[in-house]
Amino acid sequence: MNKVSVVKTQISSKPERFMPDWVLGLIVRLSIVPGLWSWGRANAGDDWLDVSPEIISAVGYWQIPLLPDALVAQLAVWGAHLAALTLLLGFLSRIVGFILILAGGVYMLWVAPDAWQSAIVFEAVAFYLFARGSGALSIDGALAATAR
Amino acid sequence: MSNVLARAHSLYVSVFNAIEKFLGGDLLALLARLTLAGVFWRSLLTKVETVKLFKYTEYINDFPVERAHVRLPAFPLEIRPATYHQFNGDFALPLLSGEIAALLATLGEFILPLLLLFGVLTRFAAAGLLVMTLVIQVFVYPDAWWGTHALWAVMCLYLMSRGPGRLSLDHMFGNRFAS
Repeated sequence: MNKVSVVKTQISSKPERFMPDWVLGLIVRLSIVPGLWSWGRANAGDDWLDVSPEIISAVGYWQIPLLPDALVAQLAVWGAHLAALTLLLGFLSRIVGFILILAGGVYMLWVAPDAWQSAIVFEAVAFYLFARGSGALSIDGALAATAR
Repeated sequence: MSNVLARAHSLYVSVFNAIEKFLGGDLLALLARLTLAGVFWRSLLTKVETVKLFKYTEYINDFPVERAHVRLPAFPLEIRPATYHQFNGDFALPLLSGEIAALLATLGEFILPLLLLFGVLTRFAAAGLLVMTLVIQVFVYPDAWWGTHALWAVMCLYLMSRGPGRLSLDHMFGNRFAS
């Protein structure tokens, strides 16, 4: 390998060393968690397991087919809490990433079709979790290390 | 029982390894590039005069509103007066005059998304958009970190650290900034 190609390799590998997968995975997870958690808390009722009446009536406007409004509201609010917690811990991140992709699709199709531009950004970040996982600094990473 | 768990775990690992192999590299990078480019390109379209292609008329409360399926910046780029007005008012930045800030933002939103789209100097373009994101966060919309700017910043960091992937001109021409 000549000197020039050595320098080239060093230049392009530096950013990856600066930001290894475990750092990137952590940053990706932490970028989503507060938004999910605050949405879940904002739409929860007085009790932790309750759902606010406002979100149930909002679901009526979304007209999501097949499922009753109350169930959709319950799934959305509980799902936001659960997804935030599991992503914080880095547990089942790929599955949570896949569910968030589906949730983003529902949002783009029924909840706010005009706001697909903001949803697609969320989808892209969720796609990272689905495709790459949460990195080594997570329960998933620890389980994978234990299994090896 | 432990046999069933071991099988389930092995299935989980093999399925997601396959997903990572096919989606976790080049396609992920392409998705990140297109998404980030789209965000800033749409912002550009609010700052400059545009040409409308494939027009259609939509009636809102019986009033006809002209829409277009495709909007592109008019050439040469012409910054709208309203853009200068915004950068002298709500979007005012310290140290920079409104005119210069509007010009820099417009050029950034024109050039950097195109670089990302084609995958040219991708790491440099992503770094530029990260700086723009931070400027917007600090000086323009300080309340929009979670849910908006944090997601943009994450995609910039991903592209800066991992490069554009193989579906890019950087890769095709072996640019040193590519992965």
